[in-house]
Amino acid sequence: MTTLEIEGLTVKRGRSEVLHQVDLVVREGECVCLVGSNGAGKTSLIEGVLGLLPTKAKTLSFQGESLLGVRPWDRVRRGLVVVPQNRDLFAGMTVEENLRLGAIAAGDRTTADTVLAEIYELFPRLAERAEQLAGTLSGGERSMLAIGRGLMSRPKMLVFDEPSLGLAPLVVTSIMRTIARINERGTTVLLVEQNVHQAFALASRAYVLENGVIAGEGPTDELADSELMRRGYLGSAATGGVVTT
Amino acid sequence: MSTVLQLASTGLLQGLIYSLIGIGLYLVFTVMRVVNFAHGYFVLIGMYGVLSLEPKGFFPFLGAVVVAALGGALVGYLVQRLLLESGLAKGGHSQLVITLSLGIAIQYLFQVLHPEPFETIPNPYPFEAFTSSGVTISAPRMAAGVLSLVLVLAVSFLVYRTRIGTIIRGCSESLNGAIHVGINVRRVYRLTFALGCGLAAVAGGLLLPIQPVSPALGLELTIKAFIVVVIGGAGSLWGTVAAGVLLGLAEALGSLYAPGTFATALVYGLFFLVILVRPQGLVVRAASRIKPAETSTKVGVG
Repeated sequence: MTTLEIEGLTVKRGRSEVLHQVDLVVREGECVCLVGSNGAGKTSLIEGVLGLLPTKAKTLSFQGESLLGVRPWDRVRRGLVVVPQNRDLFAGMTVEENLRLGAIAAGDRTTADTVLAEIYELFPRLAERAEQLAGTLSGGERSMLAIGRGLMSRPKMLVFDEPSLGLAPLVVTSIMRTIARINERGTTVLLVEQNVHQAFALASRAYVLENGVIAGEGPTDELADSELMRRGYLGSAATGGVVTT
Repeated sequence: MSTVLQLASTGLLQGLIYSLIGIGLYLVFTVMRVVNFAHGYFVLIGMYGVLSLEPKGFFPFLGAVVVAALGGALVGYLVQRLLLESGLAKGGHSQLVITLSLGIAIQYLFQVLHPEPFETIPNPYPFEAFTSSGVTISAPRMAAGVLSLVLVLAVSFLVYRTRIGTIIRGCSESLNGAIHVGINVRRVYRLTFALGCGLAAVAGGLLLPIQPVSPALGLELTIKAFIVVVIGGAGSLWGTVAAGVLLGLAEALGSLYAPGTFATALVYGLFFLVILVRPQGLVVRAASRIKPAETSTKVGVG
């Protein structure tokens, strides 16, 4: 079954069109990644899918139901949750308040305590800091909290916007391992990353976004060896440091 | 000594009304980042609302205050829904122009409807005054102060102890964060604006028996509400409450040391001083002391 289906998606940021005719499909239970360099339009795609930016699309559906005309918060309530790039935490509230807010509108109130316990088990660090204000957390902890908050409503699909951004390599590895665990437990994942190596290690399929269009797609193991990836990302050093944009 | 005590008690009770007016503005400002220049005019809506219902006796008066409050809230809801929502999405300074013009429109509307200045109603309470240790407080003043305090406590309970309050605080912390957890921020904005305006209108209703109403009063009340919110700081509702009491006390005690209108000038001078010394306000949120709160840039949800 298809969880997220995008066909002919065009996204505008201000007056300029930043995404042109994008097609993308994520099937139930999959872990798909979307890679692209800075400014390729990755975040615009997420914000378009969530309805934060004006979009046009032939098809934009989630679990078989169209999202066109649906308000962003209602898309979240249907189980499409984004872990945003800048985390968008509630800085003046405690870690636990942040987590509980994750389920306040979209989640099931009766299961909130159970899910909270699961998240503390997944991120023991958050349990230690339950009473600490979110604004005082370190980068890695903020990332964990954003993921935990996203999980609180037991979403059908989680979209991660550059979870590795600004984090130390060791922390990135641990966050990626957690994303893999979340996917193994049955949540469909769309991982949007600039860090191709990390993303390809995790995902089974990938899309490559370049200048607002999908430049390539396929299983990650095939795509990793492709001319496109060699040219654009992986082998830029080998080909004389030329990075296409 | 008894003069000081008398003025302090009056100032404290008057200050509690300022606190009530202030938290209405505070909520709208911290949650929606809208500076409502019409806020004082919503106090006028409460005052003229009660005035035109001509309540005779205590219970009709309370009824009139409730009706005026609901009226103020309804007007606020409609203003948010019809005027501000589209303005917010467009960005820029539209909200400034909208709320400022709205205030002036309300003022002239009341000038047409009530050309007589300084209208009031007789004491609706079953008591005349309370006297204790040389201090005499009229019943309407005592009641207005006490009821304002009760309402301030009720609002703080709502904001800090209930589910809807948690949602409201979430929206004020991060608009995008609120959207990401599925909160209907548009509805929260409408409710918050209605609540803020309703609180202003309640305060107006309670104020009417002690302060005669004129259409020009709206601007003065808007400014006082601003002072209270700015002095209080954006950290917590309690800063606003404290600043309201402080303003009431300063006004009352200022008249001890300076004659009439000069005292008023002195009070505002004092607040200049506070702002210079402590521009962040009296109470600052703990997290923002360490790191400035994230400001939301994407308001394109309206």
